[in-house]
Amino acid sequence: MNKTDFTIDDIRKVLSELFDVGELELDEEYDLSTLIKDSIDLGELVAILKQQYAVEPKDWDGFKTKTTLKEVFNNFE
Amino acid sequence: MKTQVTQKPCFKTLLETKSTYLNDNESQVLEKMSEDRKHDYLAGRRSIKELAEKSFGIEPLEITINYNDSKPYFDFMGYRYYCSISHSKSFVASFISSITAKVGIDVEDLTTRHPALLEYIADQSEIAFFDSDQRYISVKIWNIKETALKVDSKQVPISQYRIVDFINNSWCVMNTKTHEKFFVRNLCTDSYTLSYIV
Repeated sequence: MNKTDFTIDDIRKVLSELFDVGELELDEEYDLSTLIKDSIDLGELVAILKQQYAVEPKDWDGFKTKTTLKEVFNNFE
Repeated sequence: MKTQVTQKPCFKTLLETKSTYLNDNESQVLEKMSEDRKHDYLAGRRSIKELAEKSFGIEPLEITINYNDSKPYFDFMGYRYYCSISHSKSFVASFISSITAKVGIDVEDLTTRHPALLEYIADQSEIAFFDSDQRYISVKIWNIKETALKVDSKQVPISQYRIVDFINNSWCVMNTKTHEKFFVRNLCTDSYTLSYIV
């Protein structure tokens, strides 16, 4: 799978399972810093996305400023 | 070099007591933060200042934590003290050195993580180091590598670091791009894993 096959719904599905939050709640502007509290939480999300969808972050440093679901999704390739 | 790890106080307690450890500059920073970040900010400030008071006799309100290249420090009586602060959901850890800027500490709660995390951060040769106790292995390996990453100050994936040896009670962690090595001490309890660079 490459980025063109990876959709925001995929990341929504993983987040929903990982943090026990309804997919419908996770709109594009959802602030993920309310779910991802530690760097290990982010690492776990990245690890699952890599395993299941073969995508990785473009820019690790970018996660400091990217907090909405849409911004985080756009930081994957 | 001094370290401490404590249970993270609840947000209400930290807010109610902030006048005992937060100076005016830090209070202004706090006001601009989102609610989510305030808890960790207060817990970190209180932890580092408690440690400074216990270890060096420095009054909490006498110091301001500043940052140089994203690394915290404070100056007192002509000396510079280099700090490292780490938060998990339940704990806060701090480290102060008056000797070296290369300080790093990381604390993680021992909780079960998705198996993909271990696959992402470690290979079989690294996992083999933990044969005697594989419980929470992904969290322990993350904790050790995160400490090296903090000291290395590179914004690179944690998977770029590899545990290559265990020497003199320290984990030897190498940045596989630069080949720089970091020696990380690790301590595990029933509820957290704590790593720091000596």
